[in-house]
Amino acid sequence: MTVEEFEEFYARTVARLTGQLYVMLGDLHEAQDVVQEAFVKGWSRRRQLDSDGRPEAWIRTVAWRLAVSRWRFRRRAADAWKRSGAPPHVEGPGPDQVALVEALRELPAQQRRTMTLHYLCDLTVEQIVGETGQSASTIKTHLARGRTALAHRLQDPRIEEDPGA
Amino acid sequence: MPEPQDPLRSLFQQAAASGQRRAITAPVEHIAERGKRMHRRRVAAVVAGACLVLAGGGAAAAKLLPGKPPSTPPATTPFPRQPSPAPTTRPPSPVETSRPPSAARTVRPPSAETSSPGAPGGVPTSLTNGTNGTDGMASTSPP
Repeated sequence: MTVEEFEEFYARTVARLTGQLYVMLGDLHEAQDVVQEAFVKGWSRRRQLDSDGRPEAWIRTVAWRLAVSRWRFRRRAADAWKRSGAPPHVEGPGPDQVALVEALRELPAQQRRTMTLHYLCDLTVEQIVGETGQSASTIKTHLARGRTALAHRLQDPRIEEDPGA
Repeated sequence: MPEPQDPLRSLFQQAAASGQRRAITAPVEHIAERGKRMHRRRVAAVVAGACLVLAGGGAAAAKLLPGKPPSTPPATTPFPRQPSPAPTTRPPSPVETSRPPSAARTVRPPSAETSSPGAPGGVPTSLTNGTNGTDGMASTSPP
């Protein structure tokens, strides 16, 4: 991947990846920060990024791992807040989005990640296995339990009926 | 893959879109600059590590491999050698007087003073002094 291709890839995917990581992490500032860090790492590994043909998945995985590392060192979240500064005034998320993100926060991290990859990134179970390294049965268990937990927390019986199962 | 009509999927997409709208993305120049800086740091770390490995390996090899033994310094500091005086110029010392008579002196040709027959004690006639004939000590003085 050349510099120009990387710039084009960054412009095309950074906002989408930030949105995905926001749902995974439940914190927009942290999502912005880890996505930016993942792109910085990806810049110096542009050839590796291009080798497997899935650079977006590479960035997403690196950003997730960075976030997991940051959970171990929580003080970095304060630094990210200081670096990014106060966000400009934009229309806030609606009650449904807030409720979903709040409900997702109460799920275990891997379960949250699996749910996001499946329902937001449209990955199949096999693709999630390839990206996370977990077994297919674990992925399916995460999806079933996560869906049940979200239906319970969001008080929406339609969610509990899994159309994909 | 979940169906498009799945309400949970719609909720996920709405939440992601909300985060995407509010996200502040850094310009790509900033990313490239940080990427270059990280690359430089990594290259410097690799070079420093390689230098350390080479230096450590060289030091270990120099210590383990047999080499030329170092020259051993003398136990004491040698002083410059003075030219020894010739035995003929050595000053006379009292010790010399007690030296036993040498064979060279025994072959000294007898003088007329010591040629008296009947010297007492079996003393060689060449060692006897000519004046009194009793003391051989005087004849031991160096020439």
